[in-house]
Amino acid sequence: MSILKNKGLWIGGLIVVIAIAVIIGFQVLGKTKLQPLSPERIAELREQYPAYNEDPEFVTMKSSSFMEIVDIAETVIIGEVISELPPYEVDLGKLGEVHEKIGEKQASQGLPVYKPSFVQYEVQVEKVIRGEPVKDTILLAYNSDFVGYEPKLEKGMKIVSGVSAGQELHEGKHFFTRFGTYYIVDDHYVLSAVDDSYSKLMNGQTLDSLINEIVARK
Amino acid sequence: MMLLCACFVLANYAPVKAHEIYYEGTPPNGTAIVLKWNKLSSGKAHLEMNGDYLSSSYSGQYATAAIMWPTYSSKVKVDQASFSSSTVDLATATESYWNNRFGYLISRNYLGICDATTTDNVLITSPQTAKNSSKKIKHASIYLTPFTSDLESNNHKIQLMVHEIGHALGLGHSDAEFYPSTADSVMKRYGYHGYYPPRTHDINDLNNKY
Repeated sequence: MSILKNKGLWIGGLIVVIAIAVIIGFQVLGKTKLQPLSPERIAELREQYPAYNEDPEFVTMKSSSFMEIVDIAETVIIGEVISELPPYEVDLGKLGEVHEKIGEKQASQGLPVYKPSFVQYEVQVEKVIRGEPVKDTILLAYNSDFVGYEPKLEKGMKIVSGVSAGQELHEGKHFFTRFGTYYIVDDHYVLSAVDDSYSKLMNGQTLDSLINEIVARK
Repeated sequence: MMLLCACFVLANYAPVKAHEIYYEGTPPNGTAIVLKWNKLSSGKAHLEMNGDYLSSSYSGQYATAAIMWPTYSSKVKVDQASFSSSTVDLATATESYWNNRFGYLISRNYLGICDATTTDNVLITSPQTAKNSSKKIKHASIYLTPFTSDLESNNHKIQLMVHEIGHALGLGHSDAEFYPSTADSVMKRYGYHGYYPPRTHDINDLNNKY
């Protein structure tokens, strides 16, 4: 009888211990689930990770949403900026009869010929989230005329970005845009490179949540 | 003396006269870098225009676009000219050019661009180049997107050409970060707003400029 009573106490005690463990476990899990960044923290981070909301003045543009860029980009990557490389220049004069004729006219009249240079960043690809595989290290570029309008990347910055490979004059480069880029901030969170309706929902959310949305995109 | 002071203040802080392409300073207020078309005939900006290198996607709308500014503004004169003598050339870029100039992936976001050259042969690409130039535009090469499916309609094509010709005249975007306006304008940055003739706002900008 006494043995049975002791056994009952043991079982009861065990159930209590398990119940306490379960409660504590749920509380710990609940505490470790990442909460979105506060508006105050986002405002602080914007000093280092600005949104680029203006357009170059001589150009007529249309904007794209982040997911539109995700849809058309060849690859969506997570990458870390290793360095900014010196800009490179291209000659657009041989890209069709129209441009050859205009080039001839410019030369004959002593008009300056537009030869754009391109900013380029060396980026270590940490992960391909979606699309075609890319090399471990890629060069991300944009036209230097758009400095101040496209993200100025700094060494050590991490980004989620839709990219597409360059061809012809840009063989070996990849291109990206503010419309298709989020900075990774405070290790686990994201902040857009341009303000739009999607960024209102996504700024300060976790990197995982952005990845999930990209992966879920058909 | 008070009147003199008041005049000085007004002269320095008067509202923007025309929406310029470039400004110096911090938005929304700044010091205008005033670019103007150089050749004037009887006080009118005189553009000698050519559209020989427009593709069939645009050529049907070119004639209408070319007369929009002189039709609505007494400050603009447009003549058609041969390609060799024209001062404003409109051309449809090749896809290759568009991709290589603006970059793959992003090129479809660009609809048109006006490459303006000043009388001292400075190609205007930034506020700095504009500031260091004569500020008098003598030639403009206007390139239009080859991806015409990105434009809403033929009227949008006309509006795009009218908008780029507006840049050649020295007009900036009416809703840019400096002195932004919500008034109807063919010089708005984005999109087609259902009209292509210059609006009152645009005409006033030209009247203030020329």
